[in-house]
Amino acid sequence: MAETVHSTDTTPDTRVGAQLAAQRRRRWRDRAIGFGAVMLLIAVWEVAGHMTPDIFLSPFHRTLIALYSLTVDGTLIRATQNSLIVLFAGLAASVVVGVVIGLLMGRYERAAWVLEPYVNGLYAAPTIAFLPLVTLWLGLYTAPKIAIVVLIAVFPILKNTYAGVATVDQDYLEPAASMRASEFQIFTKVILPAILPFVMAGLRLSVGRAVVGVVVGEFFTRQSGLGGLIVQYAGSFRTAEMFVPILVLVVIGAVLTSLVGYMQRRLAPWKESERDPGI
Amino acid sequence: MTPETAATTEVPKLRVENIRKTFFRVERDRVTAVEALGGVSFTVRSGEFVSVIGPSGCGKSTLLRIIDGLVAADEGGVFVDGKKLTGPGHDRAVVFQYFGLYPWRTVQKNVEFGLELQGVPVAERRERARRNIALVGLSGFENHYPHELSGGMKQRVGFARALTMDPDIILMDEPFSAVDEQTRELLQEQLLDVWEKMGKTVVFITHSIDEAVFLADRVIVMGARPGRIVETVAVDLPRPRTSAHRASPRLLEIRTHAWETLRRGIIEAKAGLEGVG
Ligand SMILES: Nc1ncnc2c1ncn2[C@@H]1O[C@H](COP(=O)(O)OP(=O)(O)O)[C@@H](O)[C@H]1O
Ligand SMILES: [Mg+2]
Repeated sequence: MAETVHSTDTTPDTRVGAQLAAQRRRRWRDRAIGFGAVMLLIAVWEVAGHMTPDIFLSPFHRTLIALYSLTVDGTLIRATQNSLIVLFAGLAASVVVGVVIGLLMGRYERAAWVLEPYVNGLYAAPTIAFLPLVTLWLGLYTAPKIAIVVLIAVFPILKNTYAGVATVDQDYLEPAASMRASEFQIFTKVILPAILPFVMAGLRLSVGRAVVGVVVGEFFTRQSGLGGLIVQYAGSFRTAEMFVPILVLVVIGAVLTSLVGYMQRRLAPWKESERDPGI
Repeated sequence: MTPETAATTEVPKLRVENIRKTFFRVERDRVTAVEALGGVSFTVRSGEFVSVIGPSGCGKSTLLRIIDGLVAADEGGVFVDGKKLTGPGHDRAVVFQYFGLYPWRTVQKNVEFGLELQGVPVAERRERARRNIALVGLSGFENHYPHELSGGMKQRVGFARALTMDPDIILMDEPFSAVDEQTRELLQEQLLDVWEKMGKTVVFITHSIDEAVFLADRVIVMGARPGRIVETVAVDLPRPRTSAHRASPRLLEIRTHAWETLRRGIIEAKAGLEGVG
């Protein structure tokens, strides 16, 4: 600060550029390591598959062949569609429920007093224990599956939103109050944008949990989707086929998680820069 | 009526009357009372530039918040054009020490914010914001985000936002304390330039005596514990002021007087503390 003259007002700090380049290099190295680890796993899988009976583990290339035939005959596409509907509906509901409850709890002390025991209780409880109750209330088709996803996936979003509201400090609220913002405007124009990075961080954690929720729902209510396929192939000892829906689930989870991570960085560029050297 | 009596009967733009404020701090089982303001009164004429100076913790920011209506006084009142205030209003705007910008909004959108809250039509608020961004010398930076700007530039965005509200009174809380020395002098001169053009009433808080004297028509010197006015020093330097005035003998004379007043306030506060302890 002290050494700067006013002309530095407009010239970008070169240290920021160097920092960004180093960060980019690190990211590529991390990716290369991750890719190598996956290749290693596939190689081990292929070799081990040849040495064990097919019932336990069949070689990777058989799963590839199964992937092809299940795709061609439409089984995989239909199952994936079913699972994705449940996943997206569940995530969307989780965002709405999590953000609304988190906002209320963060902004109004009384709401926090009332809701906190329920939230903590549900969060700590083994959610799967509620499954029979959920099917009793909501039946066996799509609704209970979405409900399970919400029960499992809502908490990271809710907790992050709640924590995020607490970080919205006077520095944001005071100017708005000075300019006579209404309570509604404070919510929509100050608190919501301020907590958006927190909501996205919560959503990123929720994606993985939501995928678990989808599979649990598909196992234990009326079997359907990718989870249903797993149960079906496992029951008939078709191990090569069984791995196809598992792989698809892994890919869905990974792609969605990194997509949300990307959105997180795009939506809150100032959070990125906070880690850069100060200007 | 002589001109003199006309001036004294004129309703001041801003009147602060016997403001008292005590904060209570709860630490475990102990409650300590901090008397932030112990009866502060002063008036500001329309178009006048008044600086408020005082040691850290003497209640300057609290006073500013009370004038803006962000904090309620325990006693006393704030009057604008003779009307008692009850809260924040569009007749006053604050330039905050910490800038008070929203990181998710561009410069343009930050400056427009107040008008957006009022529901001013998009075209109009865009135009008004643009004009004030130009006025503070930030044309070309409309689409930048605050994190891409230096401290001095952020401060100018905060100033442009206050101007865009078109208030009668601008309240500034140590706006230049976070920028380096050279930038600060430029910002001071720019502030005076804008003030001469727009004729706003300004209450400017600072802890720098030089800054207070260079900018203001009057300097209100505050003391601590409780926060109160020690003396008001008139600055009879000609306008418009330029950087040349910084070294003028008259300014140095006033500065020395203000400094002695400030010292007296600090020493009195220390003595008071020792008397209590
Ligand atoms: N919200 C608050 N709660 C408790 N104490 C406060 C609060 N705001 C200010 N104070 C206290 O009041 C005194 C004056 O503070 P402030 O107005 O910020 O002084 P200044 O701006 O002159 O440095 C300080 O002792 C400060 O700790
Ligand atoms: Mg202060």
